[in-house]
Amino acid sequence: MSAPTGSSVDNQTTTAATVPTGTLLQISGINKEYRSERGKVVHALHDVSLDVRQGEILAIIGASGCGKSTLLRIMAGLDSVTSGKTIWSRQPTPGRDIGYVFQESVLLPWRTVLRNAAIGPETLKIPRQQYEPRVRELLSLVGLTDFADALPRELSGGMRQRTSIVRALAHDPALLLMDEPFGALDQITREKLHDDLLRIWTATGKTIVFVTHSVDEAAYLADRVVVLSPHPGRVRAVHDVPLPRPRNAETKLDPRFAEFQALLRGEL
Amino acid sequence: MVAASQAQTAGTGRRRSRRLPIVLKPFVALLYVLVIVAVWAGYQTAADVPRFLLASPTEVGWQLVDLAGDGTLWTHLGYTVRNIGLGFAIGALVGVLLGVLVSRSQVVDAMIYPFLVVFQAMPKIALAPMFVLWFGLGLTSQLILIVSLSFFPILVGTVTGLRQVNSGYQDLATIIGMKPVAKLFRIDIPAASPSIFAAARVAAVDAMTGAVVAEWISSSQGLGYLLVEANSSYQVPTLMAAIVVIVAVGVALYQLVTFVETRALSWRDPVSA
Repeated sequence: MSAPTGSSVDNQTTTAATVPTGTLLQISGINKEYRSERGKVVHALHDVSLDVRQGEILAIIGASGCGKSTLLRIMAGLDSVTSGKTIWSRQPTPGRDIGYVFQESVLLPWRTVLRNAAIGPETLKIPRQQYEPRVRELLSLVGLTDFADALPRELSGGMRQRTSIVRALAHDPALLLMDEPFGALDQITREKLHDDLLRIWTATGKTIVFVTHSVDEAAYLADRVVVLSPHPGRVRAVHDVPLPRPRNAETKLDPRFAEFQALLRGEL
Repeated sequence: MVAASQAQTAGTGRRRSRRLPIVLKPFVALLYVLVIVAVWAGYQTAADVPRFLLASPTEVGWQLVDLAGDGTLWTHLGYTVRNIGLGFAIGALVGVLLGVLVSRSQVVDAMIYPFLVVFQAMPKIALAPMFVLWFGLGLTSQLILIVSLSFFPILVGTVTGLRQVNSGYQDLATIIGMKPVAKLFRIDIPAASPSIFAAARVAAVDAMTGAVVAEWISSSQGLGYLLVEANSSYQVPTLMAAIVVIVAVGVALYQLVTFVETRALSWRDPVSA
């Protein structure tokens, strides 16, 4: 556990009319320091600024220890900043506007897939008959229709993470944040989930920000890629992905796909 | 086809070797009882133990039938079982409540911890005479002894369980906007329940010990009282019949908690359970 040295995120978060149109969230000049257990001050993020645009898929990529997860947690309100601002086009309501997919699925083992996925709307006290059709529809989007009544222990790792993605979307948030969501999965499952995610994105038009250490994941999924460099975490570059949509098996044969990955690798 | 059926046989074979078929379990238990009774009866006859030291199984059996027939057994049994139930319920409630407070508040933790260390080291039975002194020779002091014995394992189980709750659930609760009290009831306590149930099994047996000892000291009813009465009037068959009933109650209690536990925690992975 580390104690934040800065003030709470709340008084650093502002809603301002100054956000350019089409921007959902503007991060400006964020610094994050925390004290490690041995009392050493760790500078996790240094003067990080970036925009999250409405409806885009944004990848944050970097070597381990570059603060990419911290940056995502700050966007989600799970961590505070030491200085700097997060400016929203519209201030998010807790439990309503942000969906979050954790590195590990963090499912409740005593709840079925359906009830795990529905915990968000359930907490918002939305009537069951209102949210259930939506949750079931999302489950069918990721191929879990037949597992709605299964318990987490009966699922594979990929199915758990799919459930966790559906849970993050169940309350219909404007922004979906994903912290290395596919990191723990094998390559075949990863690629299936990539296509699941693109299908969901096409169907719902969410804004998606995800953290990854995988170059091909960033290139295949994202509209833009933010490259962070470590010690302390800084924005090294922001790239537009030069690949057309829809992305599919053909994308991977596109020479630009390989070129772009090489570019990213060079910066890591 | 052949391969498939072979695989199936191999599968069931593996299962059988790992776990006893459920239908056989009562027979194994019965076999145990028979062996114990046989050894008891054999020793009784072979060593020619005086009857005022050890009654024979048949004598104890008939004594049980007599006690059941004239209703004495049911009165005492009913009284003891009610006290165990009541004391255990209060103890469990107090234990979970204190456990939640200890795990939630560092102040309560710091306040309660020294007391707990002393309390844990102390044989709780030693307090029984004090309880009689303070609360009289009645139900109150009996219940207090039962509660003081049974709350402790539950408290420890609750604290252990709550401290082991996946810290990722806190992030989840923040994201979905779940309030701390709702999180306690809907996430933390269910997540801690395996540890609480394990403690409840211990506490149930402790509650029984408490009930019997309390009746021993300060009651004119119950199985503990039956023990003392039989002992002081040298009625060895009655004494041993009472012991048999107490053992049966203990086993039944343990089974009951295990049964409820299996039902409530059916979501657990059987491998890790």
